[in-house]
Amino acid sequence: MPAAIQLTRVSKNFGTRPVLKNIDLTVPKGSLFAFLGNNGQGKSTTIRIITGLYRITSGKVIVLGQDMQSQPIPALERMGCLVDSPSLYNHMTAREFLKIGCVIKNIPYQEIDRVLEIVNLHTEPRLKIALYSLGMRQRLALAHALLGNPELLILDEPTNGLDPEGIKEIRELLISLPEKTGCTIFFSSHQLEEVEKTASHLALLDQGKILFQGQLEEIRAAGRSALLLDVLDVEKAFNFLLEAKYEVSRYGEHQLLVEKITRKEASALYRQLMAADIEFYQAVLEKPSLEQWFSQQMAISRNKA
Amino acid sequence: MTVQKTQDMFSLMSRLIKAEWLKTEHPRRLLLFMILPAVVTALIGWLAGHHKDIFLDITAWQEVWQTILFFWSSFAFSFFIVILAAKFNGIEHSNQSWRLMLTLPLRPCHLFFAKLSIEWGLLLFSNIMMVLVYSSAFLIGSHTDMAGNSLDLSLVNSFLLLPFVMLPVLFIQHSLSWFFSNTRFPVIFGTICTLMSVPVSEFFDAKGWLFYPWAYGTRFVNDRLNISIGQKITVIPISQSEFFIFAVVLFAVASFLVTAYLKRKDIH
Repeated sequence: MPAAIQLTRVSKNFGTRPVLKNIDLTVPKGSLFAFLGNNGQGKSTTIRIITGLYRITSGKVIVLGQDMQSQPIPALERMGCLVDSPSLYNHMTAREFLKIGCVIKNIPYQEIDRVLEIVNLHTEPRLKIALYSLGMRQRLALAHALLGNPELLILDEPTNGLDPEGIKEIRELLISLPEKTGCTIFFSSHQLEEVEKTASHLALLDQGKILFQGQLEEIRAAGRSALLLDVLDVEKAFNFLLEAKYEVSRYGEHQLLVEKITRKEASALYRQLMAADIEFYQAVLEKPSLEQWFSQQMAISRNKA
Repeated sequence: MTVQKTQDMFSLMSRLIKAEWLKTEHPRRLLLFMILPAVVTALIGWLAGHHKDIFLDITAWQEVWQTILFFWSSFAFSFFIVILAAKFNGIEHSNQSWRLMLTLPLRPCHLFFAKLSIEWGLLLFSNIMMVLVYSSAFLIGSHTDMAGNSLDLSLVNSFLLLPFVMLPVLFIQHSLSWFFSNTRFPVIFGTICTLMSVPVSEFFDAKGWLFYPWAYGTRFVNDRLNISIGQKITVIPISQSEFFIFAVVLFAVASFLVTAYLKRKDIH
């Protein structure tokens, strides 16, 4: 599948502080790509680099076949962006605001009705944006991003501030858009439950590095069950498991996480632990949800660091 | 290829200028504000002529217009620059909408110059209104018994060129309002510099005032005005055409530098 976004060995420093460290990222065309990571790990920086707001220190950024550092306008013409919290012109009505986008993108005003319909924003026509709720602002910003039927949507926290009903609507909208219009959606989110229901692909960023990128299906199909062990002597158990060549990481004060383990292997492991006189109170074998998978990945990353 | 690129650029700039106008809060009030100096000037001229019968006294007539033109070119025009630059950049600062604008298909330098263009266009409009009032006053005056009262075309010419000569000031105020999120700073700075323009232009009676763009209006129009009414001028280090070229070149160099800077700068 050709790439809508291709980052190759991209680094970004603020002064001497590195924020992104040689990241490679490929977002396939037509995908609904979730970009995950804790706050302050470089997520927004990456989004700003993709949208051409930031210059990179080194590497290459290709969006819709265009180099964003030297020729960003042809790509931006085919993109719609919602970066950060929706910053709109408070003294305007929704239509006046969207007119500005139409003028700059050189598209007819009829487009306004279409995008307002898509985001389901029906307000009193003379109501000023200053009086909008956060959810309404978010929808209007999304409508602005949808002007001109973009091939690529970049959305930073699109469900931020929305009520549960609004989150559901946006989720359904995001799922339907690639099918309806063939557009690619690249979005960041902290709501992992929503990501699990929405995304087809995802990437995980931590400390300026991509820890994982691929299809969500890969995580599900990999059967990456994990065994969470609650042990008395963490140090002893940790060393034992390492020597036994298990992929183990510390997980909380008294817990260890043994990764990529099948039911059969887990059974064998119990016997080994008992034979080695390592006491454990509880052992839970589970197929992780995205949230658990996220926590595991973070724990592994921190342990490596 | 180059022709196509130029056409695309003009198309983008005209759309951006239109977008800037659409963004303006109360655009009609802004237009009224811009013609206010001309209206006030017309009223002063009419009142002065009506009550003091100065149509019969050429010296009094010229004094009225000298005062008005001095006030306009030395203070009011610069002050309008300060207000417009703060208004058109302030709209992005107050709504924190820089990122919204700059993720649209344009570059920061396009937005910078679109805002600057609309500010300059409004100044030009305001100045043309003033020139029309001034010219009309003298044309009306020429139908009275006032001997020797004729329209000085070279003065009208200087007057018309004022928005070009003041481009460096517009550039400075616009840049300050663009880069400083708190627009109070450029407004206070610009107001102080405007108020200091006359003392500075008088104090540096050689070429020193060339380094103080706020004095350009005073020197460019008022020196011409003083010549027009026969006063001796001691402070003209360069000719008017050289002065005009100097101001425009200064603006062009600054524009080139800021374009290069904006290309390299992150948008936070």
